[in-house]
Amino acid sequence: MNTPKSDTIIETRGLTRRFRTHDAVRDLDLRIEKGRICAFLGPNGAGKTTTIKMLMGILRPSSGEAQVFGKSSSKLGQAEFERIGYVSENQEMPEWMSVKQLMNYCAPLYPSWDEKFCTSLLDQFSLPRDQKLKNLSRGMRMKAALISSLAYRPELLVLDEPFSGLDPLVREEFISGMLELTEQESWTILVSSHDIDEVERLADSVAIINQGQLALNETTESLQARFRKVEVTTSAENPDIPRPAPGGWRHARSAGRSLQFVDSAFSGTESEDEIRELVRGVTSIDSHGMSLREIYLAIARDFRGDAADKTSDAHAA
Amino acid sequence: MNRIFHQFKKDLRHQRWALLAWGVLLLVHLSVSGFQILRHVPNPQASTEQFAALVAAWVVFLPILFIILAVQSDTPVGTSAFWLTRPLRGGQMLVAKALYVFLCFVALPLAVELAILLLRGAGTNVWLLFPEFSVIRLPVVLGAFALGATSQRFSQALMLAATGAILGIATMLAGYYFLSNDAGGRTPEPFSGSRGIVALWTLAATFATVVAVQFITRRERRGRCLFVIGIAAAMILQLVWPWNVLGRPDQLEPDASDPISLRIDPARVTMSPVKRSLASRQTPSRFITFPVDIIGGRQSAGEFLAPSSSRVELATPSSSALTESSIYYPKLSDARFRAAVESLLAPDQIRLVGPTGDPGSEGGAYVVSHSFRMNEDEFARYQRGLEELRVGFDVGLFGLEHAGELPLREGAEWNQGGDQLEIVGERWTRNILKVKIRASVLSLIFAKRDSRGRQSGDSIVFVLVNRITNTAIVLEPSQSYWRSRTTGWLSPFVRSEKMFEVNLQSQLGQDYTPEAADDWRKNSELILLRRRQLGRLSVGEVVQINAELDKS
Repeated sequence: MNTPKSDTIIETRGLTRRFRTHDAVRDLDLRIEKGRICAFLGPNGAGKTTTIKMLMGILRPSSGEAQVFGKSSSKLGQAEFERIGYVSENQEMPEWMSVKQLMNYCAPLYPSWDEKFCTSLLDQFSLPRDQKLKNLSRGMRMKAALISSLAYRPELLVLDEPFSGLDPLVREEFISGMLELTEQESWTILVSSHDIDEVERLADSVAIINQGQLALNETTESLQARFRKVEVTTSAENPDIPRPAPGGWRHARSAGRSLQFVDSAFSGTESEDEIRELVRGVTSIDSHGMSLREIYLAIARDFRGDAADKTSDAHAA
Repeated sequence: MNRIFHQFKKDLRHQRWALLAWGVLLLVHLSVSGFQILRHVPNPQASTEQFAALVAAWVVFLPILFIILAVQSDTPVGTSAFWLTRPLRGGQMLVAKALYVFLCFVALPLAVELAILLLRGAGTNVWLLFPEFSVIRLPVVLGAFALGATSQRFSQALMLAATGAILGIATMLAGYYFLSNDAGGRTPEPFSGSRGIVALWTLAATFATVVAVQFITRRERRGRCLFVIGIAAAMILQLVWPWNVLGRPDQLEPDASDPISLRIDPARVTMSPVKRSLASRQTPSRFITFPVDIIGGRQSAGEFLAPSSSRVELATPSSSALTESSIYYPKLSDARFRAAVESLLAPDQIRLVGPTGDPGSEGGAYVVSHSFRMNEDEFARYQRGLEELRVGFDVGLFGLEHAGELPLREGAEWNQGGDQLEIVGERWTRNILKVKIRASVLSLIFAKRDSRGRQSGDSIVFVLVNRITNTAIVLEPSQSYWRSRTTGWLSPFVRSEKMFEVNLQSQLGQDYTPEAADDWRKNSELILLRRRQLGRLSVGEVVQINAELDKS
């Protein structure tokens, strides 16, 4: 594997993890550049956590390789972990410690630990310092874990489903806090979630994984540029959906005098010309920009469709 | 290094209450032992002794719990431990945990044991504690460490321990039968102390490797496989290890070729101040010597092993009772047993004869001749049989123990033992058959037999001599471990009785009736003989020597 470019923080090539006969992650090629806030999305069981655990060196890949800071993830050492912050819903915390004890335990492990920053974070997240972690709510514990991973200003912050199980208020506080910090700090963040709502405001790039395979890895800017919700109005009733439809068209359906679909490869007038060629009696074409959530849902529906196809194939067989 | 100490301090803080309890337990252990030393316990079965035994057991087993919990608090198992994504290397965590475990659960109890030994006046022999710890305690500590390092929850650790134990026993039993049957008429190797030691060290090395594998590579499956394989390997070594790692008698004791030659050098005896004070307060008007044999130790295949477990109970009218218990590593217990006895008894009262035994084939017995001091009243009462001199012995080696309590109510005429023939008492025929065998399950498993199904290697045999019929029956202590077809091997007492009856039937032939057997018993006396003497003496000679001794 080639040494990644200096601005690449995370890079995987052919990353695969097999559990018995099941491939949790398969041939994953992912690259995250410095300064990016990457939302790592996918449905439940898509392989997000497995990928992250491999990136953190907690799990060994069955094949392929993952590099973090240019070093193989299975060889990440003290120096690398001093630059990485990791918060996971699955992480076991030393629950017998109070919040203060947790910070005191973590501080000497990081040369760059910023006590003032830590204090300000504790204030910002309104964490009771003397409460034992085991007595805190789940949301509070996640906040404590986050602070213990932020106070040394890591260059890479990996958040694995940090919002799951949090009530909306805490989630909002969490995200607001993160946003505030994101403005102040220049870090790279990989945040995994199965719900786009949580990370939409944070992310500037998106990687989507499904059934262990990477479906997409792109900046939100380019994603939003190419994904359009298109509504074509025709003179005829129930316009036909072209067969075969162009590759970028998703979820096309016709109703009344209109044809609606999501174009994942929209390119302005070129796309409009193509539509006029394929659909008869076009009177108008309206294209709307999509939110990240809408884009993700469109892609996720595809995944479901794939799975359904596979299932029906299997039944047929 | 700072991170190691940081982690170490964290563990100390985490287990502070457990450590407090541990410290209290050690203090109790020290206090109870001190209490036993400072004060004579009138009844050796008194609650103090039982409490002391209970405390000693907790001192051994409680650390297992604490160690497992300490290791599991930063588990190398699974993918969710907090430390895994922190700048702590597996090696650092391993060293930190090892430091914690060593200081709290090895060094601390070692210091307490040292204090207890010094209090007992063990003197220069205390250094023997270190190798003893390496054999007895270290496998336990490392085993707990390995259990903690291969499991995430305490229940998992228990399951793993149970699996290991079952596998170990199964391997050993399978190997035992397989090897025994496979011998094809050859005499299988007798149980060897070396095997026990090698097995324990193998276990310790396995556990250490498992811990290292778990923390450094975090390959759980590999660690668990190693754990299981190591236990099986240790059990197999326990059965087949062919070399003697222990010294022979002549290596241990320069003068061991003559079994009755080693005299205690008083300069070596260190008495505790309290004991010295007690000894000086005794001003007997009459001095009577009762040499009493405390017999222990058995081994075979040329190894000398003194008793691994020795209990001396001496109850006299004037001194109530003196007790000492020990469970020690066999090779070391020779010196430690000596130290214990020396510390119990005043130097001028004791003649420690040292290990006996035949360097070529048999192990050694320990002979302690003890001189009791009594005043005239006491002596008179004693002669009238109103007082009891009780000598208890309980010796063993990895469970191959034999125990007895000999209430001797006869006068001074018994017990005029000579070097060649030790006559311990008479008319306690029945008592010797009531030998209290303290055989554990392990001891029964460890007990090996030769091709004739007989346990070999004891250096002391009991001979019941009937002067009227001029017959004798030899009862070997190990006889109780014979695997009798009729009685099975789980009831040593029954077996002992059975063997006696079988022997007696053979002696009396057609004259055998229960009444005749009872008469025979009543008119017989018990003589302790070294096995090698047995081969040279006829029954008649034994009786003759006995009679001469009586006259003298």
